[in-house]
Amino acid sequence: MKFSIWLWVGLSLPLLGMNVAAAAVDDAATRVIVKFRAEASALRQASAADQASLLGRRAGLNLRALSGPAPDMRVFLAEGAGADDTLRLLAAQPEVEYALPDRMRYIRAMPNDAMFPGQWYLRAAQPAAINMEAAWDIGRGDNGTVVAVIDTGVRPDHPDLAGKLVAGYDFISNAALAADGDGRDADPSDPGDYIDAAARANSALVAVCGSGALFWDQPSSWHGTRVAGLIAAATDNGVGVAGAGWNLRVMPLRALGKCGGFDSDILAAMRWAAGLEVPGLPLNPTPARVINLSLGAPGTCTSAYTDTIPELTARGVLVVASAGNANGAVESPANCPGVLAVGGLRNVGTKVGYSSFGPEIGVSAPAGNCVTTGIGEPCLFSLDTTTNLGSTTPGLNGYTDQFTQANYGTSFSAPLVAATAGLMFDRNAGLTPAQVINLIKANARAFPVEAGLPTCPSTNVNSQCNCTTTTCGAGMLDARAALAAVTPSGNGGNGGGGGGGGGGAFDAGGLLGLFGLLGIAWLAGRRRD
Amino acid sequence: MSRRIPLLSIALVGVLCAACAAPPSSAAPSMRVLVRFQTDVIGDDAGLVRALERETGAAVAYETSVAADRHVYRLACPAGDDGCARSLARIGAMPGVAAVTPDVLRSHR
Repeated sequence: MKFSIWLWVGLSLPLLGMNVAAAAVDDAATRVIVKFRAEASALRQASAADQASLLGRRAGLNLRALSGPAPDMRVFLAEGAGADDTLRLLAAQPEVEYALPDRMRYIRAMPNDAMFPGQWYLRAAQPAAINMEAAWDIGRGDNGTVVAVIDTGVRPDHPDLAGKLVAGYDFISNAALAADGDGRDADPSDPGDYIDAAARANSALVAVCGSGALFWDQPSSWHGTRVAGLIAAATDNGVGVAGAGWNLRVMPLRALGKCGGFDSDILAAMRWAAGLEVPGLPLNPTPARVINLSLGAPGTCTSAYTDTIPELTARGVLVVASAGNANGAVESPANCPGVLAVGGLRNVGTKVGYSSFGPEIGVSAPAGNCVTTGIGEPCLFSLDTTTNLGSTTPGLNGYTDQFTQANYGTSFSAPLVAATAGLMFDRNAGLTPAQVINLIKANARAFPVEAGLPTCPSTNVNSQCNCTTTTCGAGMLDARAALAAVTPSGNGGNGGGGGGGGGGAFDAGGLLGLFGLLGIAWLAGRRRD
Repeated sequence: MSRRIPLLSIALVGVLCAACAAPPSSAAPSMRVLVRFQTDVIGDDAGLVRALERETGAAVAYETSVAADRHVYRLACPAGDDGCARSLARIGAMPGVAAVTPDVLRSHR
């Protein structure tokens, strides 16, 4: 027995050392694709080993030939210089047409949701699209991190949301505003926020909203259902739309009623979302890491918010808020310290006309824009999401589209950022809100400059302008880059694959080494026996 | 005589308090305010509501709570206090009150 252990240990150390050394060599080596010039016939016809020997000698590199993807191409593993120098040295050889890095590529996580091809904002073809499709290769929210949506409530029976919701709450304390027969209750379902003659005749509602807000008939917005779908509609279920957060979960918190919602109800919902105590309510069993506020009003940030937001931050909860649709100063609470304010972009990356802007914005994201303006023409860059088709009370569940249900507003740029933040927390639960904000900002793409368009804050007749970092935040949201910048936590399990990089490769090598050692130890024991 | 005055006073206070504890009149300008106290308090405590009424001269009704130290009241502000600015300032100056803000109505974007 003693012999076995010593043999096992004795063999283990050098083997472990070899394993680490092998990993280190691989890290230092560069895989290069070399294409030979047509006139370099001698080199093209040489054996792979001779190609490596000849080219390596001339370039001053140690080359090992790998595969030959085409008759005039060869993949080499090169040592002796850094990656950039390796490419430069090889490209400088007269027989070489070009030398390129042989990069790792990953399987694209393409969900099968029927409307996904039209969800341009999640993909990469449009300049402002958030590159979420590529981000899903890194993480899909497999830990089920919760994003709270403080809004009009949701339609919980929507087939693309039903399985994605955690228990929420209705925080509307005024029964007239709530329009569901009572004040606060445990049901965050959205009964519809339509305005009609009956609303105008409701003196209790007029007392809250004012007659101006009730002057025109308005269909129900199903706003919370739209926001929730953007964050976490059931994805890869073959139905409807994909949610940006794939496996993230949504906590629906109802705080907006017939004509809006009071700060006090929004703040109570924010506290409850974070797991803080709200008098008269049970504690939240599934606290959120991100709170989405696609709401606001003009004005400065009040002490009611500056008191509350640090309490949430201290609990690791990030607040994301839409900048507003007034083409003016950033509204509140988006303008509050500690909030990640989100501006709205057109598909081409310039400020969408209606988006508010200013130095408080942290990052910008697509908000939806139509391009076409004629009657009956489609709204080309609407942000498709879940909704309800009832004009007053709930009707059939459905989806927004380019025609009768176009969807745009900074309300819908914020959820794209909230979902990205949710995926980041899901990848590493130890991140702080400040870290998430910094990573999103640091990895945002630079704003494009469209010729002939004024630079914000100056705008053209459509209120559009070329964004700057002092008017639209650090840049355009890049979900893939932001997620890639997150170091996975040890208990990760995000399952997206591809994000582990060198660390993942080393771990795999270590495991192989361990299995090898166990095999040797077993053999040693057998021999002793 | 010396006994009647206190009794009268109590009765008068009772009448006055009954009036001020009544729900805010719909005719009076009213607004919701969010009050943050320096310590946890019971927001709908009748004594606390009466104290707010005494200080402001407004009819005050408890509406809801945000936290143990943050509660919401509806003020039917007295004549001459359009916009309730004076009532808000008076609440803000009360001992035990850390801050008071209008309870602003916000809407989706």
